[in-house]
Amino acid sequence: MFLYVLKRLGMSIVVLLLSLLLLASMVHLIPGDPVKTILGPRASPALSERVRAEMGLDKPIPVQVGEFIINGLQGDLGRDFATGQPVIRLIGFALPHTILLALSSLGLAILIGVPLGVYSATHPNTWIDRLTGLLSVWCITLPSYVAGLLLLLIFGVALNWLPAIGTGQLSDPADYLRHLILPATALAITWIGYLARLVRASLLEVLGANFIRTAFAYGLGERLIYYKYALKNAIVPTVAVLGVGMGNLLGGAIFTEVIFTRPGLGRLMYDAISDRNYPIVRGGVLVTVMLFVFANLLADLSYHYLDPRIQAGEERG
Amino acid sequence: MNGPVIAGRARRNGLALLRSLVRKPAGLFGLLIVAALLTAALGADWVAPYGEAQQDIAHRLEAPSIRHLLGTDHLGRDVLSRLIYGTRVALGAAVPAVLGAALIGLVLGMLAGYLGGWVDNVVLVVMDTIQSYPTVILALALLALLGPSLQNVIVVIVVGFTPGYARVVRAQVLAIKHSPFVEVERALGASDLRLTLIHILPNILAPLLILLAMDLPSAITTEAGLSFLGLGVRPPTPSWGVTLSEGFAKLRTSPWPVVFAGLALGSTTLGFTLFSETLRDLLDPKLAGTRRA
Repeated sequence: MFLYVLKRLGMSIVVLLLSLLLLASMVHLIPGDPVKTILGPRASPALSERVRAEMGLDKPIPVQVGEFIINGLQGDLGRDFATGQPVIRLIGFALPHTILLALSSLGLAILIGVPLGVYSATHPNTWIDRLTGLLSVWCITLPSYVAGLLLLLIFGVALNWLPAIGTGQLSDPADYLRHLILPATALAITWIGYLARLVRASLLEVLGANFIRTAFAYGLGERLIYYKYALKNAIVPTVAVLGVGMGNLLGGAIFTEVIFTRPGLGRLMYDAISDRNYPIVRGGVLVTVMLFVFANLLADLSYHYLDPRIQAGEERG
Repeated sequence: MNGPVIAGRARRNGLALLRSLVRKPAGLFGLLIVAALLTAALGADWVAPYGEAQQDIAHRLEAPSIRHLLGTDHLGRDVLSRLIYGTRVALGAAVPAVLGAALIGLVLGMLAGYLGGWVDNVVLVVMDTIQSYPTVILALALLALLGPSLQNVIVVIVVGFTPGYARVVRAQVLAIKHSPFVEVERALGASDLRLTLIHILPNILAPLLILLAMDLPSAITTEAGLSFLGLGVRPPTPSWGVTLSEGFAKLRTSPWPVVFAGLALGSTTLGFTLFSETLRDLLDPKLAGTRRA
């Protein structure tokens, strides 16, 4: 176990360092003059020179890459072009909103998806099972931005039940929560379907196992068997995908934040791209990747903890 | 794994496969959607009631009517016609992107699986790094520098989707590499090139094709999503994402462009997914029930 943790941790660090290297050199890897892309073709030479110097693009490439990596490791992601504020501070303001959004979506997906999957698996081939099956495919395939737009349209505009834009104030938790419902649901829909499907499949497999038959033979209650013994075993593959899920939610958050006009990391990057403010984009991408790698690491480790049969040196397909 | 039998069976019994696909409701529904989409893309000039850019300024942002079945957008363009022409953008981005990713993934995966050693390690680490980016975020990072265009969206999707193929191919090659029929060929003196191209390749095509079909809806969604954010295809190209984004700006005046573009996207991804999942279950029962995140 210890060796496995060490190995996974090492892999994560390598991936993060490579990401840093990639983001640092991306400006140079891509053909064309980055300053021209950033400022547009009609920028004055003086402005171009200023931006070039500010981004450090006038220095030799290895120096630039090295500086970005060293500064990045110290938490310095450069400065915003427009306001001169440190990028890390802007991200610090935006990130809590995104994390809250992603976590509440994940929570919502688990709260709805897992019971649906359990019900389907314990009542196979009933009409509810079939309906759940159909609904989950539909949920999985519906792009989150389409879900977001339709929810906004129905509940925010047509029925006017829930606030359509902004986040409300964190000092007023009830208001903040009301603002969170639509975006979190939009983001959760894919994962509700996905979890329902996954739990159903793995639970069906577990329910066929000998120890479940024995438990029934001993006369244990259905609920106890399903939720305590069977689900505990069936949930393992689900935990493994939650890491990937967190990444998808972080990626999908950008659509939700744009549609519902919420502040957040995705929105910050979106605005930065429109303003051609590359340092913010780069910093935002880096932070997202860090979170994603961390979530995956956490999921992998808990997966390993839940199911010790998975060997440390296992070939990863 | 299950390769040799399936590859042969699929080739010989294309028609039988189609017949069993149609017999399943999900497969039939998927097939109908895919067929409708192809018809719309190929025959847009005949099927669409108006031109993609044809304006009817007097009737802007109108609700569905006999004249404009799905209403009009903010420039008075027919939404139905824009959506029909949009199939060309959706498929025109998704098909080359997925094919490109499959091809590059195939080459990388075969090299990694067959050669092993440091080649395998390098390929794995690079693929791991790419996969540590959520697709949208990777696209964002690249498009911020490349600038928005259809070609760049295709490039971004290729980069994001390649690792999936490389991994599947690598795993398949590893599974087949030491199977008796390959060992026998090697003992008979077959070269590496012959072994990989004539003996291993045909056996990994079936899972590759399934993955390809399953990736198409994701690629369509990615293109439309990036175009919605203004990072992909630019207006006035009738991408579904562009229609969504233009409709979003006028949402409170007229919801129809958003509603119908959303429905087009939703039913396309649903149709393609049902089609490819049924196909997968038929081609490879062992994979039934599995799904990629």
